Amino acid sequence: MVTRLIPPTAFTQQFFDMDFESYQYLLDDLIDGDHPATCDLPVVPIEGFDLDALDRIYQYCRSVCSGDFKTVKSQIMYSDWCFQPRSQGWTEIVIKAQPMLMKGRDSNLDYNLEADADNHLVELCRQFFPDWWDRFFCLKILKMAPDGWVNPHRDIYVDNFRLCNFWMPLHDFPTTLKVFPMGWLAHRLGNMYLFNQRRFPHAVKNSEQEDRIVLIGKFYQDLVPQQIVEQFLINKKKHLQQWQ
Amino acid sequence: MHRIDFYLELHWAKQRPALEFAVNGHVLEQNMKILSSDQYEEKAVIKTQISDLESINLINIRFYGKNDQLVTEQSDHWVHIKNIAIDDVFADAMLINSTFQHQMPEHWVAEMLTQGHRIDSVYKPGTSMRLNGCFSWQFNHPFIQHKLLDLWSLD
Repeated sequence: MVTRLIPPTAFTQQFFDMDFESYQYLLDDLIDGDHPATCDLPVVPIEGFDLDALDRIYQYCRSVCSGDFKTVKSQIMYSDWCFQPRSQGWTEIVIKAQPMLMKGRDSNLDYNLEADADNHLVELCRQFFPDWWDRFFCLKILKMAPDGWVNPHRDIYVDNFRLCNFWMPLHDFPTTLKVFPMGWLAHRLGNMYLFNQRRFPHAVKNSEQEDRIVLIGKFYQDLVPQQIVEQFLINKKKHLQQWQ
Repeated sequence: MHRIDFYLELHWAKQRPALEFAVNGHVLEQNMKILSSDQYEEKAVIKTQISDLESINLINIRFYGKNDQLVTEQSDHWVHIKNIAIDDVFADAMLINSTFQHQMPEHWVAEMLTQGHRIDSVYKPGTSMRLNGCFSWQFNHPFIQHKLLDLWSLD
């Protein structure tokens, strides 16, 4: 049975349609640190990941465990303040769950708690990041259904992870992530994008007729791998070239 | 022209207080007809259109007419503002910046003070109107941009 998705709210649609050029001045006073945890830039690409290994994760997600994706809870949670849907067609598999820092504090923060990936998928991800497993605060695979969307939001946590978050496409697809005040992220397959998702409002849209699957995660702020830090220092000057 | 939709939850009997809506200080008279009818339900959506204002940056809702005769052991009257949409963009959590300035009768104030309650003159957020008074919410125009910049500057 095909489920028809609710179209984006007016706020979300206007965000997708808007030209952000007049807001570029907001980027003038960003802190430029020498470590992902202290730097306020929006997105820094990390290059050179194994495309074959990425494809193995993608194919496995697409075929074997395509039924294991669960609805992201923020999509179904409505509060007194938000009674419109905040996203549509957004599902996830949690590979590594974040520590239960927030459990019980507030129902809106009480999600993403349990890893639910099968052993083979976990093993594929471990092989992809052979030495980094203990450095991940969390790791997830997100799927966006055709015509799916996520409204403009920022991801607020107890700690400010800045560029310790990352976003990584698992297959080739057109632009999907729009960030205020830069625009659409012109991503490339095989790159990992360190993404400051706390500072920068962002929204996601899939206007194609195929599922989009991405890998996202966070590094512990003091355990960011040395290879990432080195590339970050080289590539951070490119952060203004990533947009269209 | 701008559209403003008020999403309200009304808790009151047939004999009741009243509401008055204002935008940028101008009272919206067309709503008073809706509000003077007996067709209140618990949840109401009040849709308005404003054609004579270029920008909108202040919305007020006045709650008035609640008195000792209306409040009994069995019934109280209050209004909960669930949401406000401006040109189809919902305010949602931004309403946390709204305020409610109450106008409580003096003998109620005196009674509550003797019971040891603390009475603030302004409550924030002001979305729960349980006393006579005025809800007030201020923002910058256009609202979509205000909302985006507010998302940006929460830190």
